[in-house]
Order: sequence, then C-alpha cells, then structure tokens
Amino acid sequence: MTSANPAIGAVHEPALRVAAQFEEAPQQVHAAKLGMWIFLATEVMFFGALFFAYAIARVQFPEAFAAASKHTNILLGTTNTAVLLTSSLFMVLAMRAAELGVRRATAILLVITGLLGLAFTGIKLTEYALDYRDHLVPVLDFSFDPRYAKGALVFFGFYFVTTGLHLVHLSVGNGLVLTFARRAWLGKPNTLADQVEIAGLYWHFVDVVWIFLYPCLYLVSRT
Amino acid sequence: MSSWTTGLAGDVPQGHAVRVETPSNYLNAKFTIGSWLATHDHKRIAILFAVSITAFFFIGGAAATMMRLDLATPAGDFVKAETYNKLFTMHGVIMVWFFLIPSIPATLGNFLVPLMIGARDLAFPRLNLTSWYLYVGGSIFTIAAMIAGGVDTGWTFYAPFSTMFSNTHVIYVLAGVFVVGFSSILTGLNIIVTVHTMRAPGMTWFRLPLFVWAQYATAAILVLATPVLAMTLVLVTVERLFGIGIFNPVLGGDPLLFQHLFWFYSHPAVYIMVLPAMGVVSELIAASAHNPVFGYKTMAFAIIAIAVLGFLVWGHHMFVSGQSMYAGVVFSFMSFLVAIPSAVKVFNWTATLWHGRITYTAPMLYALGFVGLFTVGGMTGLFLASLALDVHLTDTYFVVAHFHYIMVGGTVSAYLGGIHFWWPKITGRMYSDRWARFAAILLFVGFNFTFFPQYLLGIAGMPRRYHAYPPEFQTLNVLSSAGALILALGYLLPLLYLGWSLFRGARAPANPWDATGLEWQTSSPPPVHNFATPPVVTEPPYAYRMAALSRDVVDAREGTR
Amino acid sequence: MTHSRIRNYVATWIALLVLLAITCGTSFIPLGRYNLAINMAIAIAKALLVIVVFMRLFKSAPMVLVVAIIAALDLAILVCLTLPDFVVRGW
Repeated sequence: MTSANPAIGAVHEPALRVAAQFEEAPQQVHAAKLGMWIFLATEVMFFGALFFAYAIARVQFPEAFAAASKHTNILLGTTNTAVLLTSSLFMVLAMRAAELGVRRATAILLVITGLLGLAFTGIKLTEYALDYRDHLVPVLDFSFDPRYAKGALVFFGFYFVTTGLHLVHLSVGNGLVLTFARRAWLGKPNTLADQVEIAGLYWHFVDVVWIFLYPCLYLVSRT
Repeated sequence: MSSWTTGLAGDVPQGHAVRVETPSNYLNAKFTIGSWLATHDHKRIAILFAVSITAFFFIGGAAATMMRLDLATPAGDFVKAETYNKLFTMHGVIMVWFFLIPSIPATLGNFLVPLMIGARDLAFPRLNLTSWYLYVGGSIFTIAAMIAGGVDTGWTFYAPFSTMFSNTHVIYVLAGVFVVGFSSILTGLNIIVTVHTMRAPGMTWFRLPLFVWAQYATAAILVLATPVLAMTLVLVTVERLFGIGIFNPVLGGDPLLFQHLFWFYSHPAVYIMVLPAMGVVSELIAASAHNPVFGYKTMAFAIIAIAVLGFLVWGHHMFVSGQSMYAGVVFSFMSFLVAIPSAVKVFNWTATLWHGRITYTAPMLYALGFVGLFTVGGMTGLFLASLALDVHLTDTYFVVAHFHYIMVGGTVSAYLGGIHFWWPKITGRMYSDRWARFAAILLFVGFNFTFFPQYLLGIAGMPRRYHAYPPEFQTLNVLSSAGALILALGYLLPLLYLGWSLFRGARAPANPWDATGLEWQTSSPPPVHNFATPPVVTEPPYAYRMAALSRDVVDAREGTR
Repeated sequence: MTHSRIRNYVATWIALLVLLAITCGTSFIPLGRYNLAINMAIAIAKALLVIVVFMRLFKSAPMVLVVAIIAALDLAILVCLTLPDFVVRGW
C-alpha cells in the first residue's frame, strides 16, 4: 500500500499509514485479507484443474501409475512433507507473535519458516537429481519397464509439472516471508500483524497443495 | 491538487483579465507521459486500457475484413488456405482475449465502479496498473508471434492439433494469452474487493446500479474461470514441448479432457463478455427513458443467475465431440435454463420503456440495438442448445452468426453505447449526437447485412473456417462481405467524431443526460479523488420515479391518460 | 488465552504429523482400493486442519467463508460434471 493520509485511522493506532483510497485502517485490512482469499480461490481452480487432469490420466493407466509411483523417493518425500508442515507451524506462531507485538520473536519465527522453506527446496532439488540418476526425467533421460513405459512417462510428466509449479509458488512464499522477517526485525510497518497474517494465508495454501500432492505422487502404490 | 475552481477564478482582483479556468481534474492534474504510465488512478488506467483495446480491435477487425474479402469469391482468390487459417486464428485470439474480455470491465468498469459506489479508487490501485502492464506485455508478445509467422489452430487451440500437428508459433501465443489471463484475474479480484469494502455510506447492495452488479458478477467469473484456462494452456504447452500424453490419445491422453477444461473457461467467458454489456444497457435505457429500471431486484438476481448457470453449460460446445450422450442431455437442459434469466432481462428492459419519457440519443440507439440483436442471438442459441438440431448446425456459419450476434451485436454495441453515454464524464466534452446517431444506425444496418446471411449459410450447410466454398453459397457470402464493409465504416466513424470532440467539442456539464447515479454528481471530468466531498447515499438507484410521479399528476389533470 | 492458542497450534501440528505417519504407514499395507480412500481422507483431513486452524477460516470475515465455499463448489462443478462423461461414454 502506498503512502498518503497518515492522519486517518489515528484513533486505532498512532501514525498508522492508510492508503489514499481507503477511509480507515480496518477497511484497508479487510480489503487486503479478502483480496488474498480471492487470490487463493483462483489458485484452487488453477491447481484443481491440474489435479483433475492427473486423476483422468491415473484412471487411464492404473498399473503404470502404481509402478511409476514406486520409483519416487518416499523417504525424501515424507521428510519434505514433515518439513513443510513444520514450517506452517512456525508461520502461524510468527503470526501470533506479530499479533502480540513481539517484533524480534516474529522476525526469528519468520526466519525459521523461511529456512524450512529453503530446506524443502533443497530436498526437492536433491530428489530431482536422484530422479535424473534413475532415468526418470522425461525428455532428458527416461527409461522404464517397457510394460508400463507409456503410462510411467505420463506419471513423471505430471510429477515434474505439479512439483515444479508447487516449487515456484513456494519460492514466492519464501521471498514474502523473508521480506517480512526483515521488516519485523527493523520494526518498520505498524500493520505488521496483518501483513504477516496475509503472507501466512499464502504460505499455508502452498502447504495444502503439497498435502494433496504427497499421496498423489508418493503413495499410489507401495505394496 | 491546486484548486483553480471557477468560483475562485471569479475572485481574481480587478484589473486582471478574468480567466475562467477548468476545475482541476484527473486529466489536467499532470501532463507528463510518466504521469500516465505510472499512474495509480483508476480513471487514467481505464483510459490506458481503452486506447490499447481500441488498437487491438482494429487489428482484429483488419483480419476479419481480409477474411470477408477472401470469401467474396468461392475459390478464395485473395489469400492462401494457410493464410486464411492464420487470419481467423488471429481474429479470434485478438477479439476474444485482447478486446472483448477486457472491453467493458477494464475500461468502463475500471472507470465507473469506484465512481458509482462513491469510492476514491479501486481497492488495489497498483494491482490495477500491473493488470494493464500484463495485458500490454502479453498481447504485444502474441502479436509479435503472429507477425513472425502466425498460428493456425483457431482461437480454441484444440488438442491434439495444437500439441502435435501444428507447425506454427503455438507456444508463444499460448504464453501471451496466459499472461493476459492474469491481467483479467487481477482486474476481477480488484473489482470484487472494491465492491465489498469500499461502498459509500448508505450504498447498500440493493442500491448498487445494475452496472455494478454486472461488473461484480463478471469479476467473479473472471476470478473462478480464468485459472482453469491458464492450467489448460500450461498442459497444452507441456504436451507440445515434452510429449507428455495428456490430451493426445496416441500418447495415452484424452482429447475430450482438453475440450472439457477449455470450455469450462470459455463458456463462462461468453458471460464475461455479455454480462457487463447487460449492465451498461440497463443504465442507458433507464437514463434515456427517464424511468426506473423495471424489476430492479429481478434484474440483479438474473445477473447472478446467468453467472452461475454459465458454469454449468460448457458441454454444449461438445455435443458432436464423442462426449457421453447422457452428459449431452444434461448440458442441453442446463443451456435451456440460461434462457430464463436472459429473457427476464429483455422483458424488463422493454418494460422500463413503458410510460417513459424516451429520448433517442445515440447511447439509447446503441442500447436498443443491443436488445434486438441480443434477442436474436439468444434465440438462435436455443437452436444450438437442442441436441438433435445441433448435430446439423455444429461448425457451420449458423454458429458463427449466433455468437457474433451476441458478441458483436450485443457486447460491442453496448460497449460503444457506454462509451458514448459516459464520454462527457470521461473526457469532459460533448460530441456530435447527430453523427453518433448516424454511426449507430449504420452499425446496426451493417451488422445485420454481415451476419444475418451467415445464419442462412449455416442452415444451408456451409461449414465455418473454410477459405473456399461451393459456388451456390456465393450470393449470401457477397451480401455478408458487403455488409462487413459498411460495418467497418461504422466502426471508423466514432474514431473521427469522438476524436474531433476531444479538441472542438463543447464543454460537458456534470450531468448532461439528466441521469441518476453518483458518477453524475461529480464534475466532468471528475477530480483526481473522484468526489470533492465523500457522497452519502439516501435513495434507491434509478430514482426517476419522483419526476415520473409528478408527470403522472400533470397527465391526469390534462386528461391525456 | 494466548497460551491456549499457541497450544492449539502445536497440537494441530502434532495431529498433522500423526496423520502423515498414518497415511505413509498404511500405504505399505495392501488394502486394495482402501489405500486410496485412506490417503484421500487423510489428505482432506490435513488440509481442513490447516485451513481451519492455521488459516483461521471461521474466525475471518463471513465473506472469506463465502469465497472459500464458492471456490470449493466451483471445483466440484468441474469435477462432477466432467467425470460422469468419462465414466459413461464407453470409449
């Protein structure tokens, strides 16, 4: 939000900066939160269409998807899920700290969240490298049991598209979280609690996408 | 914001020439190019959008004109078959995504929604500017790809042709459309949040002008449907670049999945185009008949109903695709349901005219044109929603005529009507109403000459997207091509007289049409922050009734009833 | 008050990890199609925990709940009107 009208909204919190188009701070905060939720609704449709296409392909190739899923790295996949769920805990704790006005704690919790996000990215990239070693990357280097090769190619196509798009979203979230960590440390914005909450909404949503990706990619068939 | 109001100018000391300065407004606040390209003012961004979509309208129109020239002879002597394919793709992509979808929401909607609800701006001004940059970036990228060789898939990008067989610049065009899609999403998001959080005191939901209702419903569709298109384009790209079988049956994909996902967006997209037009027409008819809109609440609910039903009917584009016939039955039934709220709107517009004091200004002519052409387009839509009849009519010129009646006869008429109606507010100038009425009539005539013969061609069995045809279709095709030239003239005329008005037009008063609505209560053009004092709303919309009541009293006294 | 909230968040996190362990563990037991059912049920449960507790769905403005419901419904429309076609079209 841009500058102007520092005086308006002074009743609630001193020197609260409200953007020129708003009358008062609560209106601005409400608009920002609603805007983020509507954005997340678009993301639901974006990823929803992707999951739907995955489901249709899986119905087409049940055995091949089962066979291909066995070649994903369940240890790294499950670890990564735990990392991401934990990052969400620190995100929500950071939000709570921001609400209570504990700036340093907010900053530290946000940094931990961001580091967990980076850890997820690191593990994911390691996994990609292992996939490459195992000849599981379509186009670049792909070979699979000829009985299932056709469907396995589709599976790994979806694997890279879904995890790739998820990783892009996660990186955006990482940028947001670390930016707000810096702001919290410097004690800059006085709408910190709301900003952290809105960044948190995005962070948790990216987490939810992964919660569905995990069984779809790693748990198709382990028996 | 220096306050050179006319009132202050009058207080200039004696001896100086009394300069009647125009009050400070959003147009004369700053003049630099930077003040336009970096503006956060919704009114200026609306104008940025208006200028760019006008440019794309004429590029897309040029492609259409070349197609009509080619179709004047059965052999298709003007362009080669491949060129023809690229022309109709270019026409479709540009007109759908770079003109029709942003047309009313991003220009009139952007300009008017904050004014109509009594707000200073949209909720997210920077996002609004971002939306314009995404639009311009994506569309120029697409145009570059089209100039560099073009695309021949049609605007629908049907897989597996687009993913495996087309040797043209499919990926670049997909990327361009993808980016422009995010522009749509941001505009929609902005409008929803603005209507929810920024209404002036007293502006309750059922005091909103129908234009705002229409923008709101449209924004909801933009936000919910566009991401599905974005994902579909991503999947097409993945299949085309990496050979992953998603849509192509040879690779194990499902071609109907593409059509389902594509039309899940593209059918609601039709309502993205026509709902705002309905909103515009409601304003125009009420103001020109000086009557409150008949059945205001049913009009609002009809808008919502159309938006919701729009998500349930996409399968009617797939009746002959091999889709399950039971699915076809369900989609056919749902499609018929859309006729109900649409008819409610048409009847209510007609009823609004009843006992009105009608003035036949140019905006009103456009609005009446809309009602007639939309009705014809809507009724022929019912033909296409009938399963058995559609088997005969699918992919013929009947379909082309049907959607052009809705898109061009409907949306473009309403867009031009809206531009004429709010021109005094946007620019502060009056145009020549005589020329404008002439253009409106010319467009109506030219439009029917162009597209009515196409209904007949379709029934006779002429398929769409062919650059040559059997000689027996020539008469109707020549009629259509001749009509297209009249139409082209009709579209060029407003450029001239509206352009002229910018420099020579009379200064517009705040409310030249004697209309209700908050946007007419501020000066023309509005000041930077829209209202000198924040408005408070105390009456329902379209409060023409007081005037009407007093007129009734006069009528009764004079015994004219 | 404060502590109870934080305790809630931590409890939710533990629940999420337990659910993760269950979904991962059961997938090594051959249960046929019930594996898929368990995995999806647990994924939905985990997603709901995150959305309700971490994203505070029910403590937000009413309109937020409406937005969430509309998004879910719209996705349901996409799935429910398309899937029958794939099931019954017979090719």
